[in-house]
Amino acid sequence: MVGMMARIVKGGKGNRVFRAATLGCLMALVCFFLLTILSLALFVDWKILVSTLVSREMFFAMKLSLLTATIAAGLAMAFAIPASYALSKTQFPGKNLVDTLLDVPIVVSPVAFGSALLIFFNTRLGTFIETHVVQFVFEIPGIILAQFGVASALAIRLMKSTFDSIGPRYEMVARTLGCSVWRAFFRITLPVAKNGVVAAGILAWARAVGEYGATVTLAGATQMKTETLPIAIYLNIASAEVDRAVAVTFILIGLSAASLVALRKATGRGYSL
Amino acid sequence: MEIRGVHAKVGEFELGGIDLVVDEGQYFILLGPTGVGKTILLETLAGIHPVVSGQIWIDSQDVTHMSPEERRISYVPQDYALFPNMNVRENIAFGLKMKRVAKAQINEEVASYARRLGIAHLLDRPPQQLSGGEKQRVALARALIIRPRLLLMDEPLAALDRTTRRDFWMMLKAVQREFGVTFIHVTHDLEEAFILGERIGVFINGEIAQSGRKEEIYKYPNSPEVAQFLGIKNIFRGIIEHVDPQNGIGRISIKGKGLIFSFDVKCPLAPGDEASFLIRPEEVMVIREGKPIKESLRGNIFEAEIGKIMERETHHTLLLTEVGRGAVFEADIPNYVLRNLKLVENQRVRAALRRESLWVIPGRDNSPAVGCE
Repeated sequence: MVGMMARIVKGGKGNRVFRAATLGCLMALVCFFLLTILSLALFVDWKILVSTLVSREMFFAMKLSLLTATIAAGLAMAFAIPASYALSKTQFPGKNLVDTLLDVPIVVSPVAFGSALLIFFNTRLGTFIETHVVQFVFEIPGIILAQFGVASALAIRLMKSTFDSIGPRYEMVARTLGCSVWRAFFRITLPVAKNGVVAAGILAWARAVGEYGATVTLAGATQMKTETLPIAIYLNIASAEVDRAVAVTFILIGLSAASLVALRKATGRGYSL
Repeated sequence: MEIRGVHAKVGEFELGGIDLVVDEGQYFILLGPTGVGKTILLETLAGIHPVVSGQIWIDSQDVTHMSPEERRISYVPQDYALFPNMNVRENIAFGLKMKRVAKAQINEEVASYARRLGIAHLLDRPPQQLSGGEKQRVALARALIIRPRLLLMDEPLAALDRTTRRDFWMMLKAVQREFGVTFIHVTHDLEEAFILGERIGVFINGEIAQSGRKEEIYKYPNSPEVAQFLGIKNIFRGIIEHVDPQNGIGRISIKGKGLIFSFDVKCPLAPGDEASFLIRPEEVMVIREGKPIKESLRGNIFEAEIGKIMERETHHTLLLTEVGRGAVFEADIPNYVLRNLKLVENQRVRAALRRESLWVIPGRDNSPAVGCE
């Protein structure tokens, strides 16, 4: 170990100190996350874990989470792809303002975002939507809406950088070769952006699965009704069922890990944000 | 193809009042320094940027407001823009596929174009695995296969090394002849322009400053600005001293120096007119003592001192300072002449400007000449 460290931090004195400092921070962070997960593994009662995993409540939470997150991520991508294309390739007045506005759900606390949504549904327009279109507050559509809000902001950010990296000349040439704008987009730009689209989709989905703050504020935390996986953790902790909470945490970690693996596979050699 | 007073605006960049005529089947070079809007002009021709005012005609058809897909104008951008999600075969076939040509015919045509451009062995490769020269051939095949009325090429050789570039000059010329397509080729490289172009348009400051046969542009730039861009160093402001309409010979003095030279009159000029005059460095002679002096040199001989001598590939460039009034001329002397005459720095020589090569541009400022042959 010492030998390995010595090999890694070899070089001139200045170099060594610099490398040791940066690598040290890296290792500290890795230890922090590893210890956290390890403590879960040590804490967990495996019998309770298995019984939790096969419980009705857990099936419900898992099904609800997967369903809502998939719908939310799908909707987020359906809007984010064209929106981020417009943001990347079109010039219009107030573009910077729009760009900043779309970042709000990323930087603002999800609880604040959820509260804003909740307040919106108390306005005249919101009440009209609630009574005549779809009921969001404390209902499953509310979960989807909250997840959509945070996931779409993330997807737009990722997709915009993908479209920014694709030069305008592909489409120009495609058009001179007989493509309409639509065909140029679907035949050239979108296939070229494939990796970025897949990565954005996976990350948006993962973000939606893990969404808690906005969801709990808008859709509430009702057992077996609006109980997604993160809300299940909250409900179990709140009722001092720590073992069950840990079991759900494991499921969430598993899902995140699976999406990260999928992401790496989809984007070839890792991903960049 | 004819462009009449085309104005275009792309972001902050404005293209103002472009007029240009390119004949069918011609190899036209659009020559100009970088960053003056040549690419924007090409993209406007291709229909990518809207025209604010003016008209674009191709084969007596007004295409000004047609979309790019309707124009049948192919475009090869500087980076070739080969579609990275397709292999070479799919790239070349793309235009025909968009036109819904039958699959068997597409295959046949792709094979034929690939063979004619020497890329038949690359058809299954992705563009990322091609060299710069190969990419260029693929881009050409993809552009030519739709049988365009006009092929626009933006600095197509800029990404290639010098030796490959020379090979490609010949290739481009041969391809243009074989396919008989009108080419508009944008470049900033003078050598490339004069080797490839039948006609050249000099593009400076967002407008075509001069357009004509290459010999014309080479010998008779219509403004000091164009001359400067063409790399001519011997440009002087002058005043017409005398014009002899019978013999077609005039005399001009360098403004402020009084040094007088004879020239063949090619423009309407009168004594007292201000004008610019220029002479290419290879037309400045160093006279061999004892050798009879040609008629065309008489009246244009002056005493000079050799300043710096710079060695070039095929010649030496001499800085000649006229003794007395101090006018400085650049002279390109072939290597063997330099050796024979044993010319060295600080040597006094007699030099002369060939009368018929002295080109006088009427006008006080940088405005282009009007009414000159």
